[in-house]
Amino acid sequence: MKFASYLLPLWVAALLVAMPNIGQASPVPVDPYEIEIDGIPAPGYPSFQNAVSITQSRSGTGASATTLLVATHTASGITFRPNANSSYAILNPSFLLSASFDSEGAFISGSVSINGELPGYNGPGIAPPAGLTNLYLANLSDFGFDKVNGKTPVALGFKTDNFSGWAAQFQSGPESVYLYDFNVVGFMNSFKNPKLRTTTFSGSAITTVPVPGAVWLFGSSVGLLLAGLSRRTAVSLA
Amino acid sequence: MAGTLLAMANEASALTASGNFVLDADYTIVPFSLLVGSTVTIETTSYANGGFDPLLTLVGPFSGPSGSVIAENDDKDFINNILDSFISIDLSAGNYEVVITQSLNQLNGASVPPYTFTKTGNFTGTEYGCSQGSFCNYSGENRGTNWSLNITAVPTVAEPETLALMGLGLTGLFLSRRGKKDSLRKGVLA
Repeated sequence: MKFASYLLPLWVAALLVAMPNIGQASPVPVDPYEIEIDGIPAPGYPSFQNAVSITQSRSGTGASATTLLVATHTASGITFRPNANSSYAILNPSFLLSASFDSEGAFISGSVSINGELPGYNGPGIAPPAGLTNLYLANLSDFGFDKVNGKTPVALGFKTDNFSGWAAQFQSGPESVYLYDFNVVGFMNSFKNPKLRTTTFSGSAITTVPVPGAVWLFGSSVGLLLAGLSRRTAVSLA
Repeated sequence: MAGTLLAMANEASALTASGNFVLDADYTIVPFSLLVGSTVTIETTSYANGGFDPLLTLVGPFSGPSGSVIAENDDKDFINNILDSFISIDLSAGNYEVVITQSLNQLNGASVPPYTFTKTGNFTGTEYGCSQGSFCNYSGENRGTNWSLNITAVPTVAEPETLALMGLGLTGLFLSRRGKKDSLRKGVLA
């Protein structure tokens, strides 16, 4: 028994040092492509990305109170990213996301719209017409936030549906808009705060409009056809 | 204002801090450390003593200089007009910070630093209004500039000790069995 008593303090010390911070979120920056929220499609490409100013305001009292979330773009602009390797700055951009919630924070309805010009666009799909264009318009049909036990929530997610505008050519079904890089804990807390009038956070948004498989197939087959034709021409010239 | 709270295994610890704000949008950080996983209770007592309506935000665990927002509380019980703030949460060992601000002046980012907030200046005078022009509560009542808070940490399951005791018991069992075998062998050899 003497042997074991001698070792005890060492064991305790070793275990204290080795204790990990299980279940705690690591600090930002948040990679938007790693956000996962149950029931909301994951972010992907193509997507619009921009910094946002997120205003949360409450009207009414008691059980009839409603909270409105309005997110707008900032002076840093909006980019359209067809894939991981290319991005296009949108001229004269505007981003507006509006969503309403009941007194308990349950989602009621909302919409998202993105407008602007994309001169020189050379990505997949049909290039947008010159001038100011409705680039994307969609209804918000569902809401969620990452509330995994032991993790600090880092994003709010909305499912997009009933879409239209230029980028709708890429979308074949429900997709998503995520708001992230802001105090989501505080934002969710404010839903149940009867003192809330208006508060504004600064964050980021990613609006995904993935290219359906058929568009990729069509694009790649046209590319292969053109490559084959140019090779045949080169051979016949030789 | 700084404080250190070291929750040792099997020992509850407590920390008290207090101070005054000059502007509505001021903030104070009270850091603390936990040596073992603990149930931590953080509560302000200043609203009951005439101070402003506080908001508590818990940040951590710090990995180097950065920590994430873990919890936030504005009022312990708004319906019964208990506007002091209250957070009770299980935390693992590590370094944390309590950020105290006035009600609704929330940390902007999901992590710190930077320490940026949703309100500026004497916002309560503008938003709620009261005769002194600052430190107004939501119903337009003049409040004081003082804040005070208590933090207590009670170690949760003392896992290291439990494991150490189990190891101790197993070692004892092993040694006693080996001792029996030795004595039997000696008996046979004798």
